[in-house]
Amino acid sequence: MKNTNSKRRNVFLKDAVGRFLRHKVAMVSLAILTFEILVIVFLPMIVKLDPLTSNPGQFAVGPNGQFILGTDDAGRDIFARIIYGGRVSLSVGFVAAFISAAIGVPLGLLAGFYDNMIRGIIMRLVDIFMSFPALVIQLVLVTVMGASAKSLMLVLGFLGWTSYTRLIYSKVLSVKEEVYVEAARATGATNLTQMVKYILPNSLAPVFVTFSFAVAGNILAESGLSFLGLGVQLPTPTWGNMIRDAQTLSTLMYRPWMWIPAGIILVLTVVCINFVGDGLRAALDPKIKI
Amino acid sequence: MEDKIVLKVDHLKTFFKTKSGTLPAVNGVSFTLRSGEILGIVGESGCGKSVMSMSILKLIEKYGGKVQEGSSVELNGRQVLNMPERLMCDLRGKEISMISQDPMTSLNPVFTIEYQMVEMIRRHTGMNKKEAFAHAVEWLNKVGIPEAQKRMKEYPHQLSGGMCQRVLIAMALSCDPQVLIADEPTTALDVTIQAQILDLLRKLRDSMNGAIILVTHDMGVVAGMADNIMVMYAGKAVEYGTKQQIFKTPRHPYTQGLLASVPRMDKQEDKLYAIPGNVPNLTQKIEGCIFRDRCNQCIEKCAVTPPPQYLLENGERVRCWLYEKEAKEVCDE
Amino acid sequence: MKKYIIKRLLVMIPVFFGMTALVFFLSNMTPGSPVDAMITPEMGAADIAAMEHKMGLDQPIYVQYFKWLGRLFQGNLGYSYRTSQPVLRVISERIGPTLMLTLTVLVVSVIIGVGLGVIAACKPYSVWDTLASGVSFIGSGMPGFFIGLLFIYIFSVKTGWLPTGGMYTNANTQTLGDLIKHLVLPVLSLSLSSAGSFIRQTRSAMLEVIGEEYVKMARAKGMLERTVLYVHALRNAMLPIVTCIGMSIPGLVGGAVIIEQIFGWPGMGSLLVLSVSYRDYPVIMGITMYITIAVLVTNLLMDLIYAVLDPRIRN
Repeated sequence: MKNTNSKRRNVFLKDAVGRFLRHKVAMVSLAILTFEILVIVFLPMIVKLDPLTSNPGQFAVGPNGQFILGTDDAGRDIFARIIYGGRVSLSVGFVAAFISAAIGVPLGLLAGFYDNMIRGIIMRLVDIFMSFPALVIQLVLVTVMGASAKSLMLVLGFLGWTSYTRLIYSKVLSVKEEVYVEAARATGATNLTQMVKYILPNSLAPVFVTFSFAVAGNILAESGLSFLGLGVQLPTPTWGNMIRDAQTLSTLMYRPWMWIPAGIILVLTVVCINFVGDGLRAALDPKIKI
Repeated sequence: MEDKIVLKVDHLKTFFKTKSGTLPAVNGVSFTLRSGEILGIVGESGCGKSVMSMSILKLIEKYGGKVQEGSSVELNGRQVLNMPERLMCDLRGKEISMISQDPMTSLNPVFTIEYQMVEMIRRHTGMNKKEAFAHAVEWLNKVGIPEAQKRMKEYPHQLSGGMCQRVLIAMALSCDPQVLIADEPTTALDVTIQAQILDLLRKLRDSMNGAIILVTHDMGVVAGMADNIMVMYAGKAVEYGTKQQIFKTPRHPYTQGLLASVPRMDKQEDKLYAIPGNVPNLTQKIEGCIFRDRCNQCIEKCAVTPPPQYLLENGERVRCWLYEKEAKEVCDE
Repeated sequence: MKKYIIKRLLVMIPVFFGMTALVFFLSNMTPGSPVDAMITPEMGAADIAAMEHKMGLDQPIYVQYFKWLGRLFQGNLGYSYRTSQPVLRVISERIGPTLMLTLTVLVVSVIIGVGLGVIAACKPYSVWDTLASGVSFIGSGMPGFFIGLLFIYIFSVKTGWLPTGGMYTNANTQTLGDLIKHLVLPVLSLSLSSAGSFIRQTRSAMLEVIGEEYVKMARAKGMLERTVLYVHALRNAMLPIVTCIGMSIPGLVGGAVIIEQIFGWPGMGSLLVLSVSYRDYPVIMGITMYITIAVLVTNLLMDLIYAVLDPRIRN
């Protein structure tokens, strides 16, 4: 029985990978993202990039031979800041999404499996967290914890679990009625075995989809908070606090190189991650609603 | 008056464009329907019965199908297939209406029975709200719905499946159509309710001045109801005749197979007969007769050329090479 | 119907307590004790303890929570550290503009989102469908603040068509026309992201409904195509759309905080950002509480709308 179960999963996986590979937009997005991540990770190791030191006498100059995207008000290299900012933004996005998954998946599994108080409490908690304006709580928590990339990861991570729980929960509800789970139950598998060995592996599809949307959402949230000056603090660059420069009217009007490239790369990243998520959804389970 | 032709379908061909090729769902079906007649159309699921109904209503394009040039559907002498959508809307529900397979999902869940009936009656008759309401109640009474006034205010989820089907029948007949297409009207219902609904349809046929096309996969249903029967297989009409002809002397091997697979009370049988094999994949080009693979009376010719439709002495039509000799003439192709 | 409303209200009770407890917990996490502000150098430990006792800070946390809740219901939210005014007064001036902004955004994004979504679903692969997916693509990927800045750059700085921010040009021009001019950019920048998700939701809901048997039946009974789509199909598609609209409201409120900041809109959002930078905790908590209650009320409202739309829930 276990054998057919895993065989079935393999066939499904093969189909899903095929479907994903045929999703053109997702493939293009994945290519762009891979390129972007490679550049962000490896370029600073190859070329000397300095996002922090200000270059004397080079304040707020436009794109030129030396600084391909110009410098900011403090004379720092915008291109280097975008690359290093990407490191911060992406790591906040991914780490927070991992934390949320680590909390949300087990809770969703429990809520779906137990038809009692446990479910009631967990799902009510989901209601509570979901009806709170996320940004407001994030703002308050980050202020309390001190604004930094680390506290952003924690705050976004601990607040983002609800979407995992909600989706896993509804998936588990259907999976636990499947014959192989019933068979496991009949042969005396403990609740834990049923959950971990039989239900969880078959309920994971929404996790991958949610994960990618969560990364995109976290990057947006991070940039929003940093934009407000309440996220990652200067001089550490992130895309959000680079766009913050445009809050000064003169920068907004006369020095578009300071904020538009950061904005474009932010939008490109988020859109690409969303498309990859869409591709995953189409490949794994078109019925998942985020 | 009795013999007035209300519906004439000629060489109806409907196809779907799919990824794996063109799918000829209905492939040259012809029949005429006279007022007062009940025509049973029988076939396995996927043989094109429902596509045919939707094509006659000129609705199939909304669902991705295309009616091929050269097809003809005449409703009361008017060509339907090239009719502008606006005019066709006036005919649907008024001259030709439909009841469908699944009564529970065929009524809109967010509107009351009253809304759904009155809306249609007013659209086709020009009655005012009050008259339409009275008319709807009258019809609900006619189809045997108790407390019709009260039911009018209810929503579909408050009714049982059988009740929903009665409402749908009342709705379909409320504007006095000449043709009623009943597409598997009893499939989704319990057996006892099935009998009630069929009984109701039979009674209504006598009082309405139209004809009924009864689409079903169930030989038992047509046995009790139909005057004439058309057997369809893979988008083609393989046999057409009166009820007596089809049941007493089935000609086409497929029809014979269908009848053999009906469980019978009057004979002791050890094993229920089943036609071997499956319906062919229609997107692939099939050489020769479409039924060849499953036929137990195959001759050489069957593998080479598809048989034409033969008109026999007794007026029966059959699409099979076995009747080449006794055929009076070849009708169409 | 009555039963349903009561049930929803009952469900809301734990959510209300949960949310307020969360806010209370947060305010307790803020560094420093409320006593700190009143301590003078000559006070000893005993004096501080007496003061804490007087303020109820030595009581168990749940007692403090209910007392806090009680004060909350009396409208006593404390005093602003920054201006020393009662929090209620500081906030109440800001409610009007925020409500105006968010409600307008809600209306505009529902019109754009549901409208485009319906058209896209009724005419798949048409120009409208492309436009709709374009809008939803921009809306989902572009953060509101970047759209806002781009809008200011294009429509205020480059062309001079619309003002860069504020609610009125100056105190003497408080006319409706002036207000609308100031509303256009913030509303549009905030609407795009919610409109984006409404478009996707509406499109898929409509496509699903159009495939239903009752839509086929409505066509078969001779209803005109526009009645079929906009009455029979849309009424059913509205159900998931309403859910989606309800779920978007917290996000919208969050977005408003940033947008108000960019456009200098004198609402609760810009007050919140200001208070955060001054660490004005009573005001921060007051605003959070207000938003919480507003979200709860809209949730209830959405439930009611849902019940009106769906007879299966009503009965």
